[in-house]
Amino acid sequence: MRTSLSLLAFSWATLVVVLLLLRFMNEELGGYIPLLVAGLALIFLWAAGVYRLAKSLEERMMRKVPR
Amino acid sequence: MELLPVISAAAAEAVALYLITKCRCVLAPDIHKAGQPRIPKIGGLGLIIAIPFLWLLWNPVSRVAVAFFSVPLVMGVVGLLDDIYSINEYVRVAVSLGYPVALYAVDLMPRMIYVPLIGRFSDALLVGAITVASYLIFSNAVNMFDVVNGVVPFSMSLIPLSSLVYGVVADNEIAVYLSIASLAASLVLFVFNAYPAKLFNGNGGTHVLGAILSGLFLYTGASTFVLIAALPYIVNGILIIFSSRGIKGRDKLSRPTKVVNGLVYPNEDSRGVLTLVKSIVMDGPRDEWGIIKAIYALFLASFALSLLTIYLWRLI
Repeated sequence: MRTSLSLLAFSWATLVVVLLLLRFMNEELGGYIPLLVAGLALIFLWAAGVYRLAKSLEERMMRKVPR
Repeated sequence: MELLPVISAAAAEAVALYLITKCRCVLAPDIHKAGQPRIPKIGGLGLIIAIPFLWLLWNPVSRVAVAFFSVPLVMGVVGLLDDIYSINEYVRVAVSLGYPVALYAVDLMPRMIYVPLIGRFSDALLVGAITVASYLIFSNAVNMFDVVNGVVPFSMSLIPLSSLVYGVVADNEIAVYLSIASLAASLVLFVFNAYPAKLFNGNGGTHVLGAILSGLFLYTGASTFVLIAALPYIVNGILIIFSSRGIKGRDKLSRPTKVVNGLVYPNEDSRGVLTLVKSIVMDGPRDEWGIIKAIYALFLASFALSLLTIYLWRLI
């Protein structure tokens, strides 16, 4: 349960940061196209970060499992 | 608050699902149970029967109602046909994506979206892209997570609570109605699909609930909070897509877990495919009910996080 809860907490905290960054960009950038491009890039980075954390947690847990 | 559509839809759905469990038609094996009992896999039919009551007895002509209820109806019918006749994958995807695109193109969908914490958007291209992406992402994310009894209708009974709280806080009557309608339809299905399941949701059920989740995201004004309440779906989808290097059918992925003497273990030979269920059993093997309880806990935690986010939104 700890692994999945860590993933959920990390996803939420980083997603809120992404949303606040998009809020700032929405106020500062003129037009939708730059916001769309920045939004897609940020969301991809967020998803990649969630995956990287899950992968490193998996590798750590698998090292503990006796073979 | 109009309760007549909600009560009549819940009653019609309950009767339909009860009759499906009695008729014992379109069966599939429950592979996690001893002896693999065969149970009906057309739970989606109950939702398809409930939707016209929720839609036509509320507001048949408004854009929000047409978009919110007709898309799940069309996706549900396609999913149900797939459950019964196994229709071609390309036809299924073409109809499921083509219908919302056509509806948007003929101006029968709202062209404005409010994203709490970011802002309000009304650019036709941007809103169109978000609308289509939302249906694509949520219907697939829900379908990918329908792996154990009760999880999908349970989550869909919690997520609308998040948009309901937003609707009450923001005094948004549409959000309140759409949330209660979604909650009622999901709760009735949950009674029949909860562990040990009397019927499966099937593709019909998961496609309807995925489209309802998209509708809650797009048309209640609570998109940010709905997204956070649905985080386990999103995280599971991210893990599968990134670890399998793209979008692949379930049958093309090696199993991320293995079952030994009724207990589920992570599969070390699964060539790197990662799912949320695998991350749950990484901490220790669990039986089916143990996995279900862990997933319930994750959805309860994400619901609490969505409430915390509503609080943050009120502060700034």
